Amino acid sequence: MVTLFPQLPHHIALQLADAARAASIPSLAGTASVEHPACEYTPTGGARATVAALSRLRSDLLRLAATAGYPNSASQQQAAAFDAEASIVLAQQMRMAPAEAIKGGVWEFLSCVLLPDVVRWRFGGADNAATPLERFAAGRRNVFQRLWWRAFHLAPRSPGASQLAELLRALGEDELVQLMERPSLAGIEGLPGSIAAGLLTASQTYSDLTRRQLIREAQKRFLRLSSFLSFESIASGEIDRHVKSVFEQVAASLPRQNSESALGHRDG
Amino acid sequence: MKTVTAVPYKRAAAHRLTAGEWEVLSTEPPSHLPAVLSGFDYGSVLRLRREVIIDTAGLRADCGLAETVPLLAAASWSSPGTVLRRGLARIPISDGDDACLVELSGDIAGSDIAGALHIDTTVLVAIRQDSGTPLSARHAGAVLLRERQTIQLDSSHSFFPVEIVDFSKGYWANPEAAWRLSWNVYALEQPFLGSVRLLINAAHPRVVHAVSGESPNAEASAIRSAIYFDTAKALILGALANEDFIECDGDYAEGSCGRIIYVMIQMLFPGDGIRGLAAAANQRSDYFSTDLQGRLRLFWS
Repeated sequence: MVTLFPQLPHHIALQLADAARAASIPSLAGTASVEHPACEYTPTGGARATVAALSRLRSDLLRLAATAGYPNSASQQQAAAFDAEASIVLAQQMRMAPAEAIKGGVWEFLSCVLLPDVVRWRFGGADNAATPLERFAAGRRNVFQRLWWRAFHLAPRSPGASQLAELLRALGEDELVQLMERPSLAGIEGLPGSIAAGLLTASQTYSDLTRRQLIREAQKRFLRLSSFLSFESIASGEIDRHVKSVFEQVAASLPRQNSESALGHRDG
Repeated sequence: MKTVTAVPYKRAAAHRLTAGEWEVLSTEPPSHLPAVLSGFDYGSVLRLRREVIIDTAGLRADCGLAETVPLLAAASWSSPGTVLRRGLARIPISDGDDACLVELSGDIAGSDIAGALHIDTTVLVAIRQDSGTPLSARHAGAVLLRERQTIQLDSSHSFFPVEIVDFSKGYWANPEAAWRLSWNVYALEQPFLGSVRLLINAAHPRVVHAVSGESPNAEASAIRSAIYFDTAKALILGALANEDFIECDGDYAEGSCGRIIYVMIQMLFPGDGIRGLAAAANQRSDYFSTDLQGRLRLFWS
């Protein structure tokens, strides 16, 4: 049975977010709650998330945040480590339907009611600047929404595919953003995981190119291909062949600072 | 960025595929797939089956493909609401026959779809080809022929809801305000229907009457016109102030907030580019707002 999570109406989330975005982390930790009187649930079959489950989600994410420096500001490396581990926790503990996960209220409940202090800590900015509203509001930049969908799209869907934790821990923020930025590509079964694994392999093969260069150019090519290829209908091995081929083409097309070393890689 | 619409290889004529109706096997008794599917929730499973006849010889001739090129008959689905795209069935097309009959069947989980459901029946190249005639498809998965059926999913959230609430009892807005549009400018990929709602202040009887009556008088018409203008203006200005919306330039799924606002802007400003309009809205906001009044015909109806 699917789990139904509380959904906070957007207009209420905006008010809470507006108050939270410049508040102190301790004060937000003091107001964090597992419930809000305005919350709604999808009127369909499923089991509502229990108070115990929501409390556990908060405490587990808070523990990860503490490991990464919470309530003190996190370094870039600590923030990346938090994101990777938090993605895994969210995927494990929020086993909900994709049709439920598209509802913004679920994420606004998490960011504005259950874990506002973690949002404020994760995106506090330099000199304790106000957190951008988009980190609290639902959308692709919401702190938890983006992490859950990353885990969902990158989860292995064929035997032998790279494991989720392995990918999440190895990929950088910019690469993950690139992988998720085009929902029309991210939503194709098996493709994001294959591209992610292909990127890690390509970055070793073409070590004179940055991962950022490789993924940015590759995603443009996948977008073009997806308009006439049905990736979802072919065997996973064929998807992997496409991925390998695209990274080969990208590597061949990008200029190198040191062209001799590039030739050496291609020949060898 | 827009995706390409012309393919770099020869495709087959539509009549090479003769498809029977999709049958829904998960209902008792089995039925044809309707245009609108109701009573479907997260726990439901849509079990589908259809038979297709493929004129393989004609299809290969159209596409310039040799008999040795392996082909697949496939069915797949996509749902703009969840932006998921999944395979449904995949059957190799046997060699040597001039025509073949294929049965495609599979399940779609109700928890994976929202808003609408596209079901594609396709004939594809199964494996990458390293050689072939000029303009013949070589990529694995290259679509040679596609037939699409679209189903709307009827749910209690699949409309633009107008809620009448007392602004003084809760977090709604200023208690003397008349209405408030609730939407999220950061979630333009979400389905429009269901994620945008208009809140009407229950404590404001003239406005409640204006939106409730079936035959509006002059006052009610004016109030409706003002709400219509204010709602459209909020959506348009909100989207034009969002860099993601400008970058995407309409590249949103059908039925999403981004797509609907983009289409609305195109209808109101035919021929104008999104970036130019965003600059106009930002730099000459008074002029832009007045222009919108005229284009949205404020108080004319």
